[in-house]
Amino acid sequence: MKTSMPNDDHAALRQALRRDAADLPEPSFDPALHSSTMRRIRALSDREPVRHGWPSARVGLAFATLLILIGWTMPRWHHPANSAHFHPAQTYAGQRRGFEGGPVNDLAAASPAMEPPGVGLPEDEKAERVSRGLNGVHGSMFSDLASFANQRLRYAVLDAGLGVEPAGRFALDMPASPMRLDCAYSAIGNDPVASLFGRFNLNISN
Amino acid sequence: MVHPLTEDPISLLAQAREGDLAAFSRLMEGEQTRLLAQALAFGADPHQAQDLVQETMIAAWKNLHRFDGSCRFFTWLYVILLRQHRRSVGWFSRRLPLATLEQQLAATRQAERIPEDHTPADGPDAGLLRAMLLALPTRHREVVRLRFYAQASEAEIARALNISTGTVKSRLHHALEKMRRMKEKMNLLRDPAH
Repeated sequence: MKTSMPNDDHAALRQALRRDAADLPEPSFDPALHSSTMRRIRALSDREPVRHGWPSARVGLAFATLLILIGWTMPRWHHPANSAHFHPAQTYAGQRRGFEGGPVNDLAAASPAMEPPGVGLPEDEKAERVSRGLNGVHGSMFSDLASFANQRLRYAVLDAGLGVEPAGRFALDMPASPMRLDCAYSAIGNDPVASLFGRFNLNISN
Repeated sequence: MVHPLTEDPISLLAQAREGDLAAFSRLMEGEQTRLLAQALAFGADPHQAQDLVQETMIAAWKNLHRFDGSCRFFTWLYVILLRQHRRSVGWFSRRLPLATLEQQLAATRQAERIPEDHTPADGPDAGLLRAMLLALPTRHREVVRLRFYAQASEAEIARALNISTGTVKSRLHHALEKMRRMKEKMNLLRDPAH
């Protein structure tokens, strides 16, 4: 929308504003106001000296606090062990093999109280899975979301005090006690993203 | 080291920036009346105006290290005064709807004892001008006040408000345009046959 420019009216307004400013009555100096103000300023200066040379002390303090907070929360998101050993290609390769190998347990959909994987399966299938190094595979798409969920899952398992294989698979290295399994399932169950979208391999060695 | 007080505002300012309270006091003695006049022009009553000036002086002392000399000292003080005023009136500092403009004008006329039918030959009178200023959005009002009441240049306003000169020009233009439209509407309200 184009604004009209009635310069004459603007000029008249400018003139009127200048005239009004010039006509403002200037009150006489108020010594009481001045002394009371200076008294307040002096009291303020005595209580809290003004830092003339260092204006951004508060900003610096806030920034340092922020850095400390970030530093404190970062390890949860960038675990050095995880970052060093995470190889998505190898992780997915194992999962792909899992898919090709037929139906598998859906661990991620399980509640923390679920049974350990493989319970109820015939012994030969259980053995086959253990030999493949795959006990559970969940997920149907290889997407960024799944990749993100996989990482979340890795942190969850690490938080539960379980190890991680250099190849990128989550390992319950021996012996896989029911207590530690419960731990892992709790961790998985408590992480909604991992539960919904995560894919993971549990390598149980008996 | 304590410097002897001088009357030169620049030296006083330099001493005040080093933390010399006596120099600041002397400096503010010269600015108090102008600040008080401007505070009264905002529509504040004398007590409110005194409070405003006092708060402005305190804020100026606290933030003196931030004054970099890129604008006049009075312009810098005026910006503080504007912000203190905005803070003191809070929600009511927002623009007034046009419907209340007539009431505002009537109140101003009554306060200044201007007759109801008084209309100056050229341009709107002071009462209408101030009522229209109150009806402007804050960002426009500030620029108009700095330009015409503090007599700051556009470049100076830009530095004081930390905005570009183009923005100052644009705000000034829009403010004047809004005031022009308000004046037209006021004329229509007063004289529908006009």
